[in-house]
Amino acid sequence: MSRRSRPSQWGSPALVAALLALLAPTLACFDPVHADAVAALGDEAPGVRRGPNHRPGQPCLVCHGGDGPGPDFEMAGTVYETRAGTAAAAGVTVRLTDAKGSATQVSTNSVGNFYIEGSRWSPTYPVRVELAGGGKTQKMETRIGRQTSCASCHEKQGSTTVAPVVYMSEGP
Amino acid sequence: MTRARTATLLIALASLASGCSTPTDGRVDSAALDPASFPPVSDMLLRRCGSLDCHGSPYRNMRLVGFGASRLAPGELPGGGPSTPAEHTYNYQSVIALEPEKIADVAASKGAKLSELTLVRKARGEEAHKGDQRITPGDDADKCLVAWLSGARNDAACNAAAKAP
Repeated sequence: MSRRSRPSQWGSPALVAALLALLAPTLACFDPVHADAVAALGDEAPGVRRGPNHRPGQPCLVCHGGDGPGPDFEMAGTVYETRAGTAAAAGVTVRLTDAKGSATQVSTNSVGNFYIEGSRWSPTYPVRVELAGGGKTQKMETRIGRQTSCASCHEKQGSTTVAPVVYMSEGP
Repeated sequence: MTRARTATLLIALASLASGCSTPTDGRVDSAALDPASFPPVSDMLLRRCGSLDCHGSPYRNMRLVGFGASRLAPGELPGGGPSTPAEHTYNYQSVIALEPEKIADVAASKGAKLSELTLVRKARGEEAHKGDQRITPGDDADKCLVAWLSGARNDAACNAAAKAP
């Protein structure tokens, strides 16, 4: 096969260059680390649609942190009734105060989820958190420095490197 | 002739390299920075810098351990008991290991060369820092850190900074 036959098989060099130029922005924007993090969260739970009630306990900002696929949140998480992390704490007021005194608050929904849209609040970190609901209050003793998904630092029963889930009372 | 030139060049390069090497025993003396007076500084650093999402994470440099951060003892939770002596020792080593030669120089100069330390510049927001400014020059945390780096101690400032909201 002579070198001259290649253009007929693959198209002209100019066409190939044009295709590569068109694909380049797509390839350049693809972040395999982010894609892996999203994939690692798994599928939606059966019977739960995408929306405010989905994926309680997961690190919300993986998908809602600006790189998609969900809308941008500034902060989001899930609050549980007890440390066991089995029952959602609905109707809890989450009060957030930033380093400059700017404050906002939001209530947890029926599955314990709360979220603050990125357009609604732009805090200066670190941020302090207080919870109030059902006659109980909880104050986070440390501050949020930069990770704005509760589940980035709070997971199940906790370990030496992560705190337990966010909860309102120790429970039985 | 060419071999002779090459050998001369290699010897010259080796001489240059040895002139820039660390002390002969490979150690940097940081004894001027007293580990015994470090626990209050450690508590301040844990409060200002050591949350689980910053230097309290096991995946960050200048790793800090203790209350509010990752823990050393198996079974201990970040928000569990107060920081232990072993954790303060770990944090001391984390801090002096960042720039061992420079921190020894700063200690020897009684703090005159503070701005040479990346730790100070980043904490004060004088250099790009993912966690932004965490210490304001002249505040309790700053007084605490500056005193210790200068070979003194200011436990009152450290304790106030560690308890600040």
